[in-house]
Amino acid sequence: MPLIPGKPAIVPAAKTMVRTQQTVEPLLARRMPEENQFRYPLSSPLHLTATTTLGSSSSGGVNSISLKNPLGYAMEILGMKWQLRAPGNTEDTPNILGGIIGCKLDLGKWAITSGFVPVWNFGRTENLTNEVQFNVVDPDAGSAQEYNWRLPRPLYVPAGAVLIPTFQHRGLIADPITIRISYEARSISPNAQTPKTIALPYVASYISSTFTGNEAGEAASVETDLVNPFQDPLILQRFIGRLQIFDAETLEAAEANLAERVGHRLLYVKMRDMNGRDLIRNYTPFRMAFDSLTRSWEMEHGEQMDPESFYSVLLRKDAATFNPYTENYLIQAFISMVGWRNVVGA
Amino acid sequence: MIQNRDTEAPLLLSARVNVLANGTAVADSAALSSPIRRPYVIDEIRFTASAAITAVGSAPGVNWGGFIRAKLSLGRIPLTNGFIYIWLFGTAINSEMTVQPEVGGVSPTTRWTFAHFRWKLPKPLYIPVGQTLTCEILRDADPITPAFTTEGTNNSVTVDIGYTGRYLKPTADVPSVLEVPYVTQYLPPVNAGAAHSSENDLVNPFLMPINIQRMIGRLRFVSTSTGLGETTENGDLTTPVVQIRDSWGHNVLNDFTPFLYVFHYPRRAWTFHRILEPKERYNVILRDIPTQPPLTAPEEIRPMISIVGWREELMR
Repeated sequence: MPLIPGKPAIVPAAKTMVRTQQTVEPLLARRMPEENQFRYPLSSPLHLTATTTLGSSSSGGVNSISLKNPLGYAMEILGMKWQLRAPGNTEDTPNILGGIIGCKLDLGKWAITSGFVPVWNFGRTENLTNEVQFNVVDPDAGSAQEYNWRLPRPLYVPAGAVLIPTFQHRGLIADPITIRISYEARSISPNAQTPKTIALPYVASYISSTFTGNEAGEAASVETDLVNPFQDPLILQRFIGRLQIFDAETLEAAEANLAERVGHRLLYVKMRDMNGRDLIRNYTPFRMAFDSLTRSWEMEHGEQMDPESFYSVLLRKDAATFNPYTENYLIQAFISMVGWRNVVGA
Repeated sequence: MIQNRDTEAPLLLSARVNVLANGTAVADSAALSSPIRRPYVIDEIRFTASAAITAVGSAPGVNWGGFIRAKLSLGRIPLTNGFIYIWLFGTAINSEMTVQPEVGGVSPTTRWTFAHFRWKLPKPLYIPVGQTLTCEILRDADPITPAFTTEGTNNSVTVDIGYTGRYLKPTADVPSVLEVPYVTQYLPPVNAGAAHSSENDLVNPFLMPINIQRMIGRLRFVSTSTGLGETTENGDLTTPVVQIRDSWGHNVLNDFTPFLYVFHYPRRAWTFHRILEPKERYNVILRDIPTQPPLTAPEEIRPMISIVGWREELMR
């Protein structure tokens, strides 16, 4: 305010710090994911799907053209689904296949996964019972196993680009497995502005060594398993924890129910970051860490992983003194870390 | 060394207690404390109750949610009005999977059953440096004693308690006000055909308002043929019935309404948002609760109702 000669100076009242009740809200408010559905109001829904059949202990891709926006425009992928089928996979001879098939996703030079991630380690389960669907009319006709992943942020795919999946059959069973992958997406109008920042999802996983049903044992992940190799913090969506029990005698892989006692009473997990700071302080029942009902540990409040860091997983299995966990039962833990990072000018 | 890019990392704390019938146990506070001197917030509290029993009658197991209670305190600040049944904290999630028997157990009649309950806090709970959210567990006397097997731990029920949350950044400000979750419950007498809650049940006992998030309703069931657990279907889904009024006599539920219609079966909850002023309460009237007879003692059906919300407490 300029001084006017002869006139008293008008000095604004000093700003006093009025200390209002500082609540936790600004610091700790639930940070709901930003809703992007209005960023492209003229987008139209799109569903893309492709299939492949893999023999045991093999890997391969799908017809990428099937996963490309047929309109030639950019698109955003909102979610993914996998469906797995194996011949002879009936109600009497079930095989849980989610841990047998691994999926690697690449968007051009950007890796969405750290190598092959088991398909049941991407998304939380919404309804465990319905992950396996048997043919009601003809139970001998086989089953379909369904897994899905709602991306933490829509993944922008530029016009002409394809998010390419590659699959691996880990060879645990001799049967070939037919895989169908689908993208739930929306096509973006060509007039829409290209985003300056893209949220790139990222998934890394750790598959433990095999524990024998009746014996005690320990396992630990390495630095290259649950790793954030980027120079940006990774914003975490969730951890997923799955258990596979494989009967070496009948060559059947199972997950739910039979694994409940393993997950609660036999297998314990501890996690640390690379600085030795505990994420899971004490050896905790596996199913307490990765909730029984969703197989996940959800993060909704902006939890982050430091750049260029890793998490260590320590597993301890106690000896089982009861049947049926004999030496024929081979138990493996599958733990994954799902999140995203913001990339500018991607 | 504190790094400037030290992020808010996830955190999970857990403890395990074994509790006998009509007994209490205190969860290990050290296990439920942060291992490093940094403040953190708790977003979710989990309970899993399990036991190895010979099946009660032909029942697949026991839903311990109606027989195990928890009391939570942050120092002098209570989160619960005494001991609250662990199935009255959060909504039911995937009801079919809440209680999971172990398939293919040791013998056809020996089963471990695991009952899972989860309470996503209405507001994240800030835990200052050096403090712990303590948890005490109380188990009711067994109305019908399950036959515990030798695989279990001396007729005790194992309760796992877990807190999930995140560390705060070392540079985070200390809040002057805490938003503290709160749960209180109403339990009508056993074998009462009709009941009316008192001023001390679903009440706000504090001098500050409570932001109500939801009400949760469960029907505890004791049967000599099907075991201990929860009834979700009594043939016609129309009894018992409930009416709710507020402190001013206004009808929250206009008419007597079937219990399972109000506390909808898939979630067992009625979510609404209201501020309950200091000393205000909800009055619950229950009618047509099945009694003995026609039930045969010690069989019972017992409704339970809780209110879940949060209040502000000054940090001192």
